[in-house]
Amino acid sequence: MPEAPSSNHGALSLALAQGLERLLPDWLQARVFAPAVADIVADFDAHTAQTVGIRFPATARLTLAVGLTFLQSLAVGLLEWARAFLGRPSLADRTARYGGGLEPGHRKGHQGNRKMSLYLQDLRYAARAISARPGFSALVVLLLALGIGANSAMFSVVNGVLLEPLVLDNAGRVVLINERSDEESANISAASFRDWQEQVSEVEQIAAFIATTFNLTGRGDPERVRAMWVSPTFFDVLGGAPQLGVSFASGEGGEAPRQVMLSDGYWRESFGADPGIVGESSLLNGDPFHVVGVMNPQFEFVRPAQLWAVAPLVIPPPPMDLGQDYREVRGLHYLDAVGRLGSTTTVERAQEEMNAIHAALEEQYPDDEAGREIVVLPLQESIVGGVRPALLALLGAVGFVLLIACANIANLLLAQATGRQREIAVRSALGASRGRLVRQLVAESLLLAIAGGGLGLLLAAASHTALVALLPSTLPRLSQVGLDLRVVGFTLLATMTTGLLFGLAPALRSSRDPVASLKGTRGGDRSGRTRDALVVVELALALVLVVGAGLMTRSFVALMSNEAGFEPAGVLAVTLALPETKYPDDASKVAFYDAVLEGAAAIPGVTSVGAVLGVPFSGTTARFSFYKEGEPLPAPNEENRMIFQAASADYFRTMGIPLHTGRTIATTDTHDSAQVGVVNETFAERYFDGDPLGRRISFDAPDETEEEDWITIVGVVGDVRHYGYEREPFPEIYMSYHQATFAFTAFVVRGERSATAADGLDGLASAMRQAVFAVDPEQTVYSADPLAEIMSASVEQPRSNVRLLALFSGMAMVIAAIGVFGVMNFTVTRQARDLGIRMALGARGVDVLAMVMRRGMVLVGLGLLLGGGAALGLMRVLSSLLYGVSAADPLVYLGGASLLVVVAMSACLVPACCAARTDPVTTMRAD
Amino acid sequence: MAKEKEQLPDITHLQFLVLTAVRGGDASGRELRGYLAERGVRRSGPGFYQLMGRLEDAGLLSGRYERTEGPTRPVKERRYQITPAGTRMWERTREIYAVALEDAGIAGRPNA
Repeated sequence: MPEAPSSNHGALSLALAQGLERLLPDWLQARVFAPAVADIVADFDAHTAQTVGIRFPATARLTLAVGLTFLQSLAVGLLEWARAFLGRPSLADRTARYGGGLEPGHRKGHQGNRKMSLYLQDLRYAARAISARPGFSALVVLLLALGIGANSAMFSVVNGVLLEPLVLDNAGRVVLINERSDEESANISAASFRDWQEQVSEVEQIAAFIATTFNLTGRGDPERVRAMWVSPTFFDVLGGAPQLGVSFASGEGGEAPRQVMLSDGYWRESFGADPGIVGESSLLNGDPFHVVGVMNPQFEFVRPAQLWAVAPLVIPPPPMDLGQDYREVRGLHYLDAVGRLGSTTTVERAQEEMNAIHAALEEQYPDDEAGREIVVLPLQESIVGGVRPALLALLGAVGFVLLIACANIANLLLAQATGRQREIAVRSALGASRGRLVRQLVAESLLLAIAGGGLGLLLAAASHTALVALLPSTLPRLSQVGLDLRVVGFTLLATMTTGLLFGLAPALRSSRDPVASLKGTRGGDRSGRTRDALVVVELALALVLVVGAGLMTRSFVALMSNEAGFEPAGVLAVTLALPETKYPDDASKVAFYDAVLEGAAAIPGVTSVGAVLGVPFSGTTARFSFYKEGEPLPAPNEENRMIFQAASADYFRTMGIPLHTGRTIATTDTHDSAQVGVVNETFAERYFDGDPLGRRISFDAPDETEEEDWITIVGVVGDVRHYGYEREPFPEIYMSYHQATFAFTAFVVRGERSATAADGLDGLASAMRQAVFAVDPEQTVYSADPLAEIMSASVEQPRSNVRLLALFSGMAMVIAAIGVFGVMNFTVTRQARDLGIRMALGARGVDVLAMVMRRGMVLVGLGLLLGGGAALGLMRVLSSLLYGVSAADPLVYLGGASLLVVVAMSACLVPACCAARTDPVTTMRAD
Repeated sequence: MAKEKEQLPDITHLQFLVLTAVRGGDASGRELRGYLAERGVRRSGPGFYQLMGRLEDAGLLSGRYERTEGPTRPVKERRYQITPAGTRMWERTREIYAVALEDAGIAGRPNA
C-alpha cells in the first residue's frame, strides 16, 4: 500500500483503498488487497509520470481499479472460506502431511487455518443471529428480494437487448450504410450503390436489400409473406449460415434461377419444419423460386423477414414507369445497404472513406446527391441504438429502488443494533476487537443479502413473462431477454454490494465504543442522526423516481394530446400489394381497386370506404421532390419535398380529414382528365403562403414537363401526422389513384358504430378479406388492423416507459414510507419517557402529535430539498425521452413533492397518534 | 532419493513456476506477475496474491513489505524470498517431473 502521498494524483483513490482495506480480514488485507493495490498505484504512477496535462481519466480508472480489486479480494476471501468450509486441504496441509522438511518457524499454514476457522465462526455466528430473529430477517430478505429481483429482471432486458452480441460471424464488423436526408434516414439509389461497390476499399463486401412482400401461391390458400429482396452476397456480408441447404450462389442473380432462403420461423410455421422443402420450388408473385436453404434460428437483422429472395447484383425498384434504366436513375432512392468491414479497419475509417466517395459523387451529380450524407453505423447499434436511453434510464430507476431498500434495511439494522448493544458490549468486553465485531455484523448482512439475492433471482426468473408483457412488443431483440450467466453474475455483484452497502454503516456504528452501554450510558444521538440521514436519503431518491415517472407521464400525455389529423375510431386499414405479373399495367390495377371499393361499400354496416397509398402511422410513405411552375429551380440543398399519396375520392370522408378550401379528389379525376392534386395545410403554407389553389407543380424540371404532366392544386385539406404523434406534419399531396397508380395500396373502411362496437372490427376485417377474394381469389391481404391499434403500436415504447417508471416509483414510495414509519415509530418508542414527562407536566395529546409530526416533516423537507436538487441534475439524462415537457418542469416537481409529503405524513401519523395517546404514568413506571 | 513413480507433486505447475522465479533471488509481486505474464499466465492482482499468500502460508515463501521510491511517491511493495523449505519443495517437484519425463523418454534425470 502506498504511503502518505507526496503527490496528490490519485489521493482520493488511495483514501478509498485505505477505507476499504479496513473492512477486510487481516489475511485478506495484508496478503491480497494491499499488495494488489500497491501494484495498481505503481502502474498509475508510472503512467502519470509520463503524462503531462489532464489526468482525470487515469485517476478515474485508478478509482475504478481500486473498487474492482476490492470486490475481487472479497471473492478471493469467499473462495478461501468456501475451501475451508468444505474441508478441502490447503497447500499448507498438503506440504505439512508429507513432512517436506518445512521449517517449524515457517508453519504459517496453521495461522492461516486458524484465521479460516475464525471466518467460519463468524459465518456460523451470523447464521445463528439471523435465525434468532426470524421475523426481522424475513422482512429484510423480502425487501432485498424485491429490490435485487427487480434489478436482475431489468438487467436481463438490458443484457438481452443491448449487451448480448448478434449471432453473426464477426458481428462487430457488420455495418449498415445508409444516407440521411431531411434529418432522417433515407434510402439509396441503385446507381449510388453500384458506385460504392466499385470504389469502397475499407468495406470488404457490400450488399443491398429492400423490404417487400410476396404473394405465395401454389401451396393451398394464397399467403402474404414479409420478405426482402437481397443481393447474392447478403448472407456472406452478414455472416449468417443456413441450418439447412446452402447460401445464395454469388454472381449475377438476374440470369441465375430465382432463389429463396426461408427463415427458421417461417419454415416451422408454414412448412412444418420439413427438411424436404430445400430444393423444391415455390411460386412468389406467380414466379417460380427455388428454395436453396433455411436460415439458422439465431439469425437477426434490422427488419424481420419470413424469407429472403435473391435479386440481381442490383435489385430492381418497385414497379413503376421510370422511362429509363433504373440503374441510371440517381433520384430514385429505394435501397438499403449493409457491409462487412475489413478485418483491420474501423467504423470511423469506413465513414471517412464513404464521406470522400459521396463528396465526389455530390460534385458529379449535384441535382441528385446534394443535401444528402452517408451514415455508417454498426449493425447492432442500428438495431438497438434507439432504445438504449430508455432501457438505461429504467435500469437506473430500478437501481434507485434497490438503493432505497438498502437505506431502509440499514435503518432497520441500526434500530436492531440498539437492542443488541449489550450483547455487542459483552463480546467486546470478552476480548473481541472492533474489526472482529464489524466482521461479524457484516457477515450477517452478507448472509441476508445472499438469501435476498437468491430469492430475487428466483423472482426475476418467475416474473420473466410478466416483464416481457410490460415491455413494448416493438422492442428489438425481445426474444433474447432471459436469465443467463451474465445476469446471474450481475445479481451476485448486486447482492454482495448491497450486503456491504446496508451492513457497513450499522456495523461501524454499533461497534463504536460498545462498553459505554454496559456502563449504562446511552450512545448519544449519533445513531439517531444516522437513521435520520438514511431516511432523508430514501426520500430524496424516491423523489427522483417520482419526478422521473411524472415527467414521463406528462410527456406521454403531451404526445397523445397532439391531433393526429383524422378520426381513427371505427376505421379498419387493409393493406395489400398486387403482383406485377398478374396486374402489369395501370388499367388492370385501377380496375381491381375500383372493384374492391365497390364490394367493400356494399358490406352491411360500412358507412364509407377509401383507398390510399400509405396509411398514417403505418410507416409507408413515398417522398418526392417537385418543382413549382413559374419559379426558378431551387438550389440543390433547398429542393421542395413532399409526401406523395395516391388516394380515392372517399378517402378523406372515411378518415375524417377536413377539407379547408377548394375540393377533394373527385370520381371524375381519371386517367383521361387533367392531373389534379389536393395538398395539406403545411404544403400550402410552406410552398404557396397558404394560397395554392390553381397553382401547378411537376415532378420533372419545368422545361422538361409536358403540358399534360402538370398537376394543378384544387384543394387544401387538414394536416395528418404520418410518422407518429411527436413528429410535425410534413407537406403532402394527394392525387387520384386513377392518375397515379401503384401496385400497393391500403383500403380504409369506416363502419357504423353499432357494427364496429359489437365485434371490435373483426367482422369487418373478415368481410373485407371476402370482398378482396371476390375480386381475385388468389390475391392475399397483407394485414387488416384497426387504425387505432396501428396508432397505439407507435406509442408502445413511451407507454411502456411510463408503466415501468410508475411501477418503480410506486415501489420506491412504499419502501420510503416504510422507512419514515420505522424511524418515527422508533423515535416515539425511544422518547416514550420524555413524552410521558411532557404530558405529566401538562402537554396535551395534540401538542405531542404536533411535535412528532414536526420532526417527521423536517426529515421530509430535507429529503425533498436534496431529492429536488438531485432530480434537476439527473433528469437531463431523460431529456431525449421527453416530449413537450421540460426536464425541469416545476409542476411535476411540485406534484411529486406533494405526493411524497402526503405519503410521508401518512407514515408519520400512526406513530404520532400513538405518542399522543401515551399514558404518562404507565410510561414512567415501565421505564 | 528413491524413485517415487506413484507420487504427484504437492504443488501445482503454477506454484512450481513461481518458486522457480524466486529461486534466482528475491522479487517483488509486480516483477513476478510480469514473469508469469511473459509465460502466458495472466492473473488479476487479487488472484495472483491469493496464490502468493497460499505459498507463504505453506512456508515455501516468505514475504515482507519493502518501501521503494516510485516516480511520484514512495510505495510499499510486497517482496518474496524462497525459504529453505521452498527450495526443498522445488527440488522434490523437479525430481518428480524429471522422473515423469524420463519415463516418457523425453529427457534424462537432471543432475542434482
